[in-house]
Amino acid sequence: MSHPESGADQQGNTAELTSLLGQATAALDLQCRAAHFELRQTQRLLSDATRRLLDCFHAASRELADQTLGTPAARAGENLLAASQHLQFSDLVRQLLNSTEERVDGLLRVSERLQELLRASTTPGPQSALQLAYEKRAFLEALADLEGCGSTRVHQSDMKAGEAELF
Amino acid sequence: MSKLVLTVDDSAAIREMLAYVLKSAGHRVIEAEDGMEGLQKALANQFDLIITDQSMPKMDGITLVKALRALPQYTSVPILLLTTESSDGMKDEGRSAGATGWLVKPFDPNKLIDVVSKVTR
Repeated sequence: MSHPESGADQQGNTAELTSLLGQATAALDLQCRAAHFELRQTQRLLSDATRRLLDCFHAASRELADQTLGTPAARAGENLLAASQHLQFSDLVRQLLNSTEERVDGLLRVSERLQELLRASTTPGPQSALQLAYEKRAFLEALADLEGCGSTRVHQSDMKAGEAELF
Repeated sequence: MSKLVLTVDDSAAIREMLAYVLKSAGHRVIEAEDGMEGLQKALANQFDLIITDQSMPKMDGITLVKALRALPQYTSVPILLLTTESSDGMKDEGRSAGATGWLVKPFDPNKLIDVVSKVTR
């Protein structure tokens, strides 16, 4: 048997919902910031690793150039040429990481606007209706911006060589 | 025969790998980090071939192709787009802009040398 909710019950439900939403957005915020930090760290590590790989690559190339042509040198040359294909992974990963960072930035903005919206919805005062309307609009704008975040055009999931087409 | 090649890419790793492969095939290479720098270098030198990325800051590859094709000295110079994209729509856009060919990253070095010798013959 159902009973119509009293005003006190409704107020209690709203307060509980607000509290839950507050907890959810705080957790979302924490995770997004952690992911954002990790992505930056990965970018730095990848950049350093690539730099070192390139230095090794060029050093090996210089050493080979000093040797007389023979089978081992020729084989090493072929390996260097093959390595030039594999080293291109850094550009693909860089584009993917940039895209993910863009998405996380968008999530962070939504989380921040949502927290402001919740704060405005629970703050009494003569300006509260105006502030609430402003925060709602800002939240919806951040949500709309989120849809355009992360626009990677990298479709490759392995290091197989791409196609070549002459028009 | 040695050709003067302009490579345009915002990724240092890709530029260095392109330079390594092209130089190993006997060509001379000048690098640019984006379309704007590429256009400036193309105006300062007469290249036999241009290889450009599509997605770059300041000026993208297709805009660079259009700008180069508008210059009398580059109406018939081969221009290859080297990109991670392989959609038919983007390829059509590249073809309409005046690109000579479309290469998808990561490029196979032997295939690249083969394509370069075909378009610079």
